[in-house]
Amino acid sequence: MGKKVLIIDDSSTMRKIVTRSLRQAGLDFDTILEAGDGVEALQVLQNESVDIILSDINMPNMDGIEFLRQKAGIDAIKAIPVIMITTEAGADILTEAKSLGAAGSIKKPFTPDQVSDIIGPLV
Amino acid sequence: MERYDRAIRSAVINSVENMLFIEVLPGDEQRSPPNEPDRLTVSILIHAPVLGELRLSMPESLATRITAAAYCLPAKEVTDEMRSDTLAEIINIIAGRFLNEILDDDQSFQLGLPQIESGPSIDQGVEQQKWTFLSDADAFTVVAIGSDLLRR
Repeated sequence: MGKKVLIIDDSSTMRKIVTRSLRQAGLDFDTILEAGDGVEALQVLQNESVDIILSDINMPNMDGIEFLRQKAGIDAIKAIPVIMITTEAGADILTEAKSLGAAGSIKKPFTPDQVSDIIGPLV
Repeated sequence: MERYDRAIRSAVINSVENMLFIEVLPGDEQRSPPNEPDRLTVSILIHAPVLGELRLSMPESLATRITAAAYCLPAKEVTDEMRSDTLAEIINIIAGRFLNEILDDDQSFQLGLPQIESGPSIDQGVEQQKWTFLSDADAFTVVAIGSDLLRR
């Protein structure tokens, strides 16, 4: 079965940039799903099974940290690896994300090589 | 100010080139781009650990070219909403990279939401520093505003 990724970001531009970077990194997912915030992402995950989630941190409605917290409480999805894609890479935020189960992080601006190095081993 | 020059150049060039694959070069600081009526400006407030603001201003033609590259679309299919979202994302990334460069390692910071500016330009009485960049024939500027930010 083909691999699926869910990209969570309130910026449609960033979702397109991440999608393109995945392709340029040679990570050819068969299905790329998108959500504009954590609430939308949880709705998508009710109906879709994905292999990895790439999430922004700062978003309206439900941010990336709260999304991790909610996801950790749902048995069906808690094992899906999440990579945080963020501008604000302060140590305290990333420590909190890791404590909630984030598998890693990518700091913007990123290159396709950086995307490949971090996401490649997880899929 | 040399540290700021390096930080802003690195932030702008890395943000636009690494993620959008559009070549950017430092421009001539003495030759600011003309104030064309079609220039688009986006601003972002820095709330902590310093107070300040960054503004990105570019001709609509360049904003369209960058947006088309981000969305992998022909320029004629770029909408105002796409262009605004792209400018907002670029200033957000530039601000984050800039602060990562000038703050101590791993120090957290807090940014506001990017705003598309349609009002008057910056009050000349406010402390500010402007940097000019070139992408092909288009010049664009980044302005850092506020004494707290610039005197750090």
